[in-house]
Amino acid sequence: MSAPGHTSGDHRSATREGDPVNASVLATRDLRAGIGARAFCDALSIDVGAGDVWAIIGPNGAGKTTLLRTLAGLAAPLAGTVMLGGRPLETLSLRLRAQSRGVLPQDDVDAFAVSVADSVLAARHPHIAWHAWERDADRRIAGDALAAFGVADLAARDVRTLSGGERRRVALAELVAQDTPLLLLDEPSSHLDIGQQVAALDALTALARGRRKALVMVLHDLHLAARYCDHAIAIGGGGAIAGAASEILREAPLSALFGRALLELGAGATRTFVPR
Amino acid sequence: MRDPLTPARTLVVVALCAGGSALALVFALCAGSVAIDAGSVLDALSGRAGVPRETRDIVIALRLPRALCAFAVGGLLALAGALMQVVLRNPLADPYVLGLSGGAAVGALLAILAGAAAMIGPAAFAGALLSTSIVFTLAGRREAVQSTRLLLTGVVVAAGWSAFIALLLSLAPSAQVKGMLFWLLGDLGGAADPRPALAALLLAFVLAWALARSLNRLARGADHAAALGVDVDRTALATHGIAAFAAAAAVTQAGSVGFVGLIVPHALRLVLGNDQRLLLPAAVFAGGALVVVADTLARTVFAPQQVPVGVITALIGVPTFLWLQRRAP
Repeated sequence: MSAPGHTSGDHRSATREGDPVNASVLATRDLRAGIGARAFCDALSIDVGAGDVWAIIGPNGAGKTTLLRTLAGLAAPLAGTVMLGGRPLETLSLRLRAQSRGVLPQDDVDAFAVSVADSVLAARHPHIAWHAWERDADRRIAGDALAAFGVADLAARDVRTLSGGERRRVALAELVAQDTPLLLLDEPSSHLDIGQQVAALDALTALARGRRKALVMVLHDLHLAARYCDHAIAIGGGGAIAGAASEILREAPLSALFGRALLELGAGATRTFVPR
Repeated sequence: MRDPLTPARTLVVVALCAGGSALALVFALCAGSVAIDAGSVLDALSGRAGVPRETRDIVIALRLPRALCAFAVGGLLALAGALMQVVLRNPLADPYVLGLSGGAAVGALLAILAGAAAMIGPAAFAGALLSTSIVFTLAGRREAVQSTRLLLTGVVVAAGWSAFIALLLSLAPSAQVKGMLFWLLGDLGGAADPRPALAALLLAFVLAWALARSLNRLARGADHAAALGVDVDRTALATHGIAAFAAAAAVTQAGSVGFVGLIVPHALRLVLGNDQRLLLPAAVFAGGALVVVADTLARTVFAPQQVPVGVITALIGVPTFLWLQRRAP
């Protein structure tokens, strides 16, 4: 376990590799992620520890979602390895993977009516034996997750009748109810107004601090990345660099990444970047 | 909407559905050219002494096999429809959506044309499985889940079978056309031994029910299911296999009875929700009961004329469905 007082910029040493007690929640070694022959990043090696909050940033079409799906094991790496809890992902059963990492997709499309309560309870799937039914403990965890995102009063609604922002908060509650050490989120703030964005990310980062969950989030809003993340992966132009947020979330590297001159404004929690 | 499902609620609802099916079966045994009251039917079934021999023959030897065949066919079709709708993530899918009934029909019509009455069932079964494998081969194995390509391939293959059916009907001697039309619309007039269809129903249901919780995840998308640890490819392939087997078994027994596979699961979903652990057994009983009642009406309403059961399932099913759809939130 990393020390509770761990600060951003702390580099995890390679000596932890293979040690199941101190293993990173998520690690990659020489990862090449992409689709077909097209690679979005190459030789990416990262170590995500318990309690860490990582941002994946980059321009449209840079491969952020593909990288996230590769980290989740939903897409196969073109080369290299992804490790969950110190073990190569492909050696883990599907159920063990689902107990190790949760995924928030970019969008939810529901073909059938399903209640909010059922949709959150569904996230308990990997914790229930194939022949068993959901228990009261599962219902309680699902209810708590809904409450954490302020949508407990929607429990009886059909998810297809929710507004975009309500649906997003229910999806976040689903992810939290899955109760995994690693949370992979594709644009958690999409569809949310500015107040709800901060409320949702406050709730998520509270999990990282309080329950030592690791978060890896694709974020478009550089302000949110600067406000909440201690590490970042900048992906674009067929390559990716990873490091401390203090090194990557700066004017010069971001301007190069997005191909547009950016100006840094504010400080601390209100730091942001705007186009010049 | 309703609370999350519990085993107790599932048991109660399934028991109610089973009770409804039992009532439908008793109705089927009572009704006919010779009306028999429910008490005598139950006496005949339980083998109690004092039941006239003629009554017992009508109930046990004539009406019971046909009613059980009807139940099995309805259960198989509703089960296949429920599975196809989930795995294709399309509420409009039915057991025939991938061209299965067209392949079966061509097999059966060829057997009728050849005068090989005993071969109608096997030929229909072979045609159904042939059509399913053609569609999967053309669409590609990895297209099993919610794939537009799979659906489109199925629709086009079905159109091809339709043309073939029209050709066979145009070329057939007029004496055989009525038999062919009855087969195409679905008919239980030839029902004899219900045991193969009932065994197929039991097998398909047990296999499908074991997948029910994974199917719940699959209903919300392949990525959603994969993220929660469901083996999407294997589950989808197994589900397609079970659905094709169930639909082929039903078509072999009774021809292409329509609407049951589309309407029963969809209507039940509006009333009971979309948890497959409840929906699949409820669909088996409700589909079975619907076809039992429909077949009883098919052989009694226009007596001594019999009409194809598929006509009655459509006449009952369509307005019921439209009414449910309108009152749904």
